[in-house]
Parts: sequence; structure tokens; C-alpha cells
Amino acid sequence: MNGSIPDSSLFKKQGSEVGVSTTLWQTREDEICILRDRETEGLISIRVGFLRSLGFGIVRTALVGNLNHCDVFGQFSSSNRKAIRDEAKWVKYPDSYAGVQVMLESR
Amino acid sequence: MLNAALTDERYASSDQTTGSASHLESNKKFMPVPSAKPYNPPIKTLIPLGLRSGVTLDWTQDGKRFPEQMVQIILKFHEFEKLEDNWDGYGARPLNDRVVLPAFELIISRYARQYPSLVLLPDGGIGLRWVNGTREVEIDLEAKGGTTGFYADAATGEVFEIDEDSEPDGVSTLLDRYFSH
Repeated sequence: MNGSIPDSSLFKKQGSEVGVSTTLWQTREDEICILRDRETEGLISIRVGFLRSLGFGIVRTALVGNLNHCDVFGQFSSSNRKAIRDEAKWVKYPDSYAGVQVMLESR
Repeated sequence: MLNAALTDERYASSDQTTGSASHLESNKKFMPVPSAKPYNPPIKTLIPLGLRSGVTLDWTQDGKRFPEQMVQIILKFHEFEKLEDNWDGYGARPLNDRVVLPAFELIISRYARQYPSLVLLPDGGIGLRWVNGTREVEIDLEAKGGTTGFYADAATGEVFEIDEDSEPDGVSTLLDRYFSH
């Protein structure tokens, strides 16, 4: 983390990932669902419309236990990651180096 | 004052005419220059950082204390080194020792006017972040060897980015833009 701003490295594809893993935030149940057994992790939210305005595509890729799981596809260039970082909102800070989940808001 | 070229010329001409006598005569004009103060050579200290990568800092003592911010940076690297595989729960890799030296080269380069904050990247690379008001630079030294980053000024809307295919001096370009203000 860089102060209170999410670091842009959170929006990097990892390893062989084809997209960045996210969850569509429709109800409070989604938040509970993705933090189950991951209490130390953080949460940030980002608007779907903003990602689309940058040219990203969002595809539902349901997982067992997380039916609202989505992958975000597109050009995760430095400037796009900066733009996402600037737009993203912290919902919950992570403990130390724990991971951060990305939730998509459809508003 | 005579310079070396002139002396050589004198030597060459005297050699051809009157032997070495005039050359020896000219040597008398080279007098020691009195110094205003006794010269104390700077004390250089090699500081081992205790990191796996074996990087050491060559510090020239200037009468000031070793910079506290640099101490914090070294401690941060030690903190990163302790993180094991999957440190974020999503398969993040531990610190890759290959990025430590390039990171320190940037930190103590001519840009050392401001120390960056550091981020461990999920692939084991190092991210360096400089922020000053509306201007900022991010440089990611990827574990696999590439470098990405950007310079942005929110006041002017200027954004300049480099990716893995950019010219090798791309990092300097970003930092030059940031520190030129």
C-alpha cells in the first residue's frame, strides 16, 4: 500500500492469469463470501462503468463458492493501472502483506 | 604556468640543440602549490547490507550521519526478504535477489534528492514510488527483468509511461521529468 491509495501493482495480472480476478458486488453476501477464511485480506471496489470506459472487458467466470466471480480483460498498462488505482476505493484495509480482493460495483 | 605540452616542446627543441640543459632549467619552474588547508581525503566505508543478494553500499562520509531514510529503506528490504512464497495468499513470489542491486542503483543515483517508497510486487520484483504534490513516478523492476512505469502530473494532465518494450533510457526519462521541476 502507498499511504491510503491502493498500489497500482494490485491490478497486475499474475503468472498465467488471463484476466484480473474480481467479484461482482451485488449483495452483502458477496463481501462475506469472498472474505470467508480470509479475514486478514483487504477489499477495494471499482465501478464496472469506469473499467469499461478504459476499454476493459468483464466476463463472469463463476467459481464454486463464488458465483459472482468475474475476470477483467484488457490492457493493464502502467497508465491504466494508475487510472484504476486512482478510482478504486478501500472497503477494508488488509493486514500487513495480506492480499486484496477487488469487487466490482455495477452502479 | 607551463603546461605539459609546452614542456614537451621545450624538451624536444632543447634536445636537438643544446642537450638536456634547458629542459632541466624549465623543470625548476614546477613548484609545489601550497594548499590553503591540509587535504583530508574522504573516508569511504563499505557497508554490507546483510541481504541475500550480497549488495553493499559504498558510503563516503561527509561529516553527516548516515541518512535515516536510507536505514529505513534497508530495513524494508530485510522485511521483504522475510516474506515467503504466496505471501499475499494469491501466489505472490518472494523477493527476487536480482532486482535488489538495480533498485539500490536507482535509489542512490543522482535522484537521491528524494527517497522513494518501496512496494514488493507480486512477481517478486520491486516497485519504487516517488510522490511530490501533484507529480509522481512509479517504476516497477519486474522479477523477470523488464521495467515498467509512468510519470504523471495531475495538475497538467501529463502522463508519460514506459513498458517492457521501451528504450533502455526510459527510466531516466521518467525520473528526469519528475526531478526537473
